[in-house]
Amino acid sequence: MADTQLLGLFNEAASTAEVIERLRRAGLGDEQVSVISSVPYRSRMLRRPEITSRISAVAGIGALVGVVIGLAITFGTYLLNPLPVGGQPQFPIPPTLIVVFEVTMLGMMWAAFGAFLFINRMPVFGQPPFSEDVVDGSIGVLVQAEVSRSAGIERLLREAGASAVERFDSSARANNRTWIKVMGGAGAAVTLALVLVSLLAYDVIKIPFPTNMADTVSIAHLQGPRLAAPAEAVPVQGPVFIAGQPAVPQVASSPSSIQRGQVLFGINCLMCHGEKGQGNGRLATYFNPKPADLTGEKVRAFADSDIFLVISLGRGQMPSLAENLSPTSRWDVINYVRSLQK
Amino acid sequence: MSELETRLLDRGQSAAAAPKTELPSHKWTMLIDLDKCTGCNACVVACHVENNVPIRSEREVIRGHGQHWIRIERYWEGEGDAQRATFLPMLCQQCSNAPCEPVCPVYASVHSERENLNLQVYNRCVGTRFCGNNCPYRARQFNWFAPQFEGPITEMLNPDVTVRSGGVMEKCTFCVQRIRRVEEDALVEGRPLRDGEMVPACAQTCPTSAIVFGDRSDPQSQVAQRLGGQREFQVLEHLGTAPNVYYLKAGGSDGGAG
Amino acid sequence: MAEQASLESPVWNRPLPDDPELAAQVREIREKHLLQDARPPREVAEKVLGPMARLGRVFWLALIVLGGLTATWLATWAYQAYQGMGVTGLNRTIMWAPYIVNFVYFIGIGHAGTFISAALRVLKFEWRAPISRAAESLTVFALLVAFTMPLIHMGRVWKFYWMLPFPNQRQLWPNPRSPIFWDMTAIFTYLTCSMLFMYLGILPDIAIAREKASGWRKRLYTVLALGWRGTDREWKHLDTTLNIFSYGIIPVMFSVHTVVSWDFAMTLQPGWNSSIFGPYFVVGALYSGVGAVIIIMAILRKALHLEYFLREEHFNAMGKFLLILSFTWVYFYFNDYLLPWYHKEPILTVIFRLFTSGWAAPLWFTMLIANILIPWATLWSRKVRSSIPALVGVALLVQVGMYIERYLIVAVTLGYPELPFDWAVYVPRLPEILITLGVFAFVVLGITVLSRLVPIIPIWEVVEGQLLQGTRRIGRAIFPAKTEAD
Repeated sequence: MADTQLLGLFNEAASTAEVIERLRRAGLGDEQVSVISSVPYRSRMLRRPEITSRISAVAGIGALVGVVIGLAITFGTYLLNPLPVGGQPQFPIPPTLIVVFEVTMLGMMWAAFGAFLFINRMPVFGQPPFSEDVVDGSIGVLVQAEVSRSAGIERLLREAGASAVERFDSSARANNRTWIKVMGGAGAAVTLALVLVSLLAYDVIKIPFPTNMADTVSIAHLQGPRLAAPAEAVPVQGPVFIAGQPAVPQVASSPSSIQRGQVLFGINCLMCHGEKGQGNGRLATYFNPKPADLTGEKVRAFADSDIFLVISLGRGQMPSLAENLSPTSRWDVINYVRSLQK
Repeated sequence: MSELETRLLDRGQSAAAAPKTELPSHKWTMLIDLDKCTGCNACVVACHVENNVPIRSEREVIRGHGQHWIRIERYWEGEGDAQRATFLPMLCQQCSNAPCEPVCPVYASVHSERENLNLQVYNRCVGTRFCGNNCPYRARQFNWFAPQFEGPITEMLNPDVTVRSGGVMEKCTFCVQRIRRVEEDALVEGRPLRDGEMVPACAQTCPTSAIVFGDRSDPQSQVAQRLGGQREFQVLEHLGTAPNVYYLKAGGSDGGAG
Repeated sequence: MAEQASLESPVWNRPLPDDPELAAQVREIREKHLLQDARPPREVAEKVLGPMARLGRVFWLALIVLGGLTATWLATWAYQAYQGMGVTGLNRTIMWAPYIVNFVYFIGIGHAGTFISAALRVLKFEWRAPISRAAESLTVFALLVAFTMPLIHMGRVWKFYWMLPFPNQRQLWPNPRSPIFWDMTAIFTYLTCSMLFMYLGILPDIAIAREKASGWRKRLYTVLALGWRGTDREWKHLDTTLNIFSYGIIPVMFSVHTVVSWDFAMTLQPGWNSSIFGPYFVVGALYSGVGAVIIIMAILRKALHLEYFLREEHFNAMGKFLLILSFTWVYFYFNDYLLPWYHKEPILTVIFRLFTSGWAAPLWFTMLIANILIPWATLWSRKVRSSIPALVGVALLVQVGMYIERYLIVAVTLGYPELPFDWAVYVPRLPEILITLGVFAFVVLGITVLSRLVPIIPIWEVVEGQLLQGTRRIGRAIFPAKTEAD
C-alpha cells in the first residue's frame, strides 16, 4: 500500500508533546512518528520513548580492536625485531601499556564515528522529508501512514496547532542504494590504497632508487683507476702501486723489452685495441664506449704508472689483466705501447 | 697467478675446511691510564683517519658542529702559578645499559650482546637526535651537514668504513671494522683471538700507550689484569649506564684527571 | 508571570513581568547572561552566519600577511631540509631546541580546546557553549602544526615514514620503547579524534547554514552536512557519539602531554629526568591554552561582531579559570624547583643558579612576572577579568611566560650535561626564527579562514542552552536558574 508522509510544523515543545500524545491515541505506532528539530529535545520532554543507540556497543568493539592492534604492534615488534636495547627486557610492560592505551582510544573513537555514519546512513542521498522552517526553530512532526488515513492525520495536526502541514509522497526518502554504492566505493578506494602501499612496502613494485650506502665516497673512488702517487710523494717502501702486492720497479725500455711487449700485446690486447693500438680491434664493435685509442692524446698524457694500474686493475669495461700478465710483463707491454705512440 | 690471488684462494679453502662455528663472544673493554695521557690529541687524529670522520671547518667547530668520536676534555684547575690542566679522553663508553638505545624510534641504536658493544646503524638513522640528548657523556656526534671530502683527502678514506651522509648520528664503534677483520682472520685460521691482536686506531697511535684495549672476559688479557686496582674509576657511574671504558686516576702533580 | 521555566511559550517570546522592579531585574539578567537572553533561532543563526560572508579589508590584509609568513615557513623548511640541520643554531650538546620548544608549546595550547569542549561538557558547565568551537579550532590547528614540528627537526626527514608501524618486506618496525613512538600514537589519536569531535559538533550547524546559504557556500555546506536533518534518531546518535568522544578524549588529552613530557623525563639529562614532568606539563598546557583561547575569543568577537555571544560572563569565567590554573601551575613548578634548591646536587645547582643569577636570569624573571606576578595581582579583580583588553593583555603575557618556560626547560637546560666540558649555549639563528613565526601565523591563518567557512559559534548548543535555562523568583528578586531537564 502506498505510504504518504506528513510533516507538521509546530512552534514550541509543549504543543509538540501534545500532538504526539494525540497521534499515539489515534493508533499510530511510535516508529511511524519522528520529530525533526534544529536543537535536540529530550525524549521525555516530547513524551517519546527513549531511543537506544547501538553506537556505544560498536565503540566498545572498536576499543577491543584497538587493544588487539596495539598488542600486535608492540608484541609483534618485540618478536620480529628482537634487538636488545638499553638493558631492557625483551617484553617490556610499561611502553606496551602506553601504546596499547593510545591505540585503544583511537579504535574506540574512530569506531564510534564510523558507527554514527553507518547508523544514520550518512551521507544521505536523496531528498527525505525536510522543511526550512525547522532551521528557524519550528519543530517538525513527521508522520508516515497509509494514504487513506492522511486526511484524518492532517486534520489532527492542524487542530493541535500546526503552523503548517506539508505532504511528501513515498519518493521523498533517503536513497539507500546510492549510499551503499558510494560507501562501498569509498571502502574499495581505501582498500586499494592500502594494497598499493603494501605492494610498495613488500617490494612487489620495485622503485629503483639509489641507496646512499653503496655510493659512499670511501669505496666508490677506489673502484676507478687510482692515480699513482704524485712524483713528489715519498714512497714508504719503494714504488708500491698496488696495495698488498710486492713492489716491482719499472722495467727500463729496451729493444728486448719492446719485443717481448709486442708479443704479449698481440696475445692480450690486440683483439680490442687493434694492431696499432688505435682502438679498432675486431671486438671493438661490441663495446660502448669503444676501447681506448692508445696512440691518442689521453693515453699519451698518462704516466707509465697510470697505464700499469689500468692493466692491473682494469678500467670500465676493460677487465683486469693481473692474472694474465706478471708485473714485469706489464712493464714490457707498457714499453711497447710507448713505442707505438712515437 | 699473483700472490694476492693465491692468498685469497687459500683463505677460502681454509674457511671451507674449518668447521662452521659461531663467532665467540667478547667483552671489549678499554682502559685509559690518565697518568700517562699527555693530552697530545694523536688519538683524535687517528680516529678521524681510521673512521672517515669529517673534518669540519673552524667556523663550524666554533658553532659547535665539530665531530670528534674521541675528544680530549681539558679542565683547568687551580689558580696562578699552581694552575694546571687535566685531560680526560672522552669517547663512547659502550655502555651495557646504554641510555641511547631505547629512545631511538627506529632501532638505529642497538646493542650487540655477543660483543657487548653499542652499535649505530647509519642507514637506519633518521636523525631525531634523541640518542644524542640522552647520552650523558655527549659522546654521540651528528652530521649537521653532509660531509665533504674534497680533492686528495678522498685518498685517505678507509674503504672498510662507510662515509655517513648528512642527518645521521655517529659515534665511536671501538673500531668495529678492525674487530671484524681480526675475528674473521682468527675464524679462517681456526684459532682464538690473541690479546693485543685487536687494537683500535686510538690505542695504536697513543705514544705513551695510555689507551689499552682488550677482551676482559679473557683473564690473561692486559685489560683484565690491570682492572680492579685502586686507581680505577668510571665516569658518571652513578647513573647506572655500566660503561665499558675504565679510567685509571692520575697520581702525580701534573697531568691526568683525578 | 515568566519566572519559572515552562513549556508554554517559546523562550524567546516571553514577556517581561509587570512589576517594574522585577522587570528591571529580568532585563539585567538578560543583558548579562547569554543563555537567559533568548532570541528566535533565526536571529541567532543570522548573527553567526551573517558576518561570515562579509570580508573586510582587515581580513584580506591578515590573509596576505599570514599567508606570506606561512609560505616563508615552508620555504625555510625546504631550505633547511636541503642544506642540512647545520643551518640552525643547534650544536653537539644542545641537539634539540627551537622546534621541540614549539612542539611542546603548540601541543600545550591545543589542550585547552579539548578541555573546554569535552571536559566542561561532561561536567555540564553551560557557559562553555559559545566558546567551545573556537577553542576546538585552535586545538586542531595547533595540533597540525605540532605534528609537523618533529618532522622539521629530523635530520633525514624524507625517511620519516620509518617511524610508522607498517608491515614491510624487511620486517623493520619502529621501536615501541621510544618516547617518540609514544608521541606519534598519542598525537595521531588526539589529532584525528579532535577533528572528528569538532566535525560532529559542527554537523547540525552546517545543516542550518546549508538552508540559509546560496551559491558555492550552499554547495559546500550540502556536501559537508552529510544530509543531516535533525530527526530524533539522528540527535540521539549524535548525543551518544559526542558523549563517547567527550569521555574518551579527556584521558587521551591527559595522556598526550604526559607522553610529550616523557620525551624529556625518560632521559638522563639533569633537570629533565624529573618524575613530576607528567602532570606538570599537563597543567602548563592547560594554563597556556586557556590564555590562547581567551585571545582567540577576543579576536573573533571583534572580527565577526559576536558581542551577542561572547559576553563579559564568558571572559570572566575564563579569567577565573586562568587564575586557578596559575595556582596549579605554580604548585607543580615549586615542587620541581624546590629540590635543587634544597639538596645542592652539583649539576642541578649549576642549572638553578643559571636561572636565578646567571645569563638566563632575565628570561627566568620575565617568566615569573608573566606567569605568576601579573596574573595573581590582576585576575582577582572582577573588573580586570571583565575588561576584554585587560584580560587579553594578561593572557598574552601568560603566553610569553609559558613559551619562555618551555624554552628554559628545553633549550637552556639541555646545554648543561654532567660533564662541564660539554656545556654550551644555544643561540637561535634565522631559519628557526622564520619557522617559528611562520607556524604561529599558520595557526592564526587557519582559525581565521575556518571562522569564515563554518559557524564558529555552535548555534544549536546556544539555542539548546537557552531553551533549558530559566529564571526563579525568590521574594522580590529574580535569579537565573539552571533547570536539569535531563
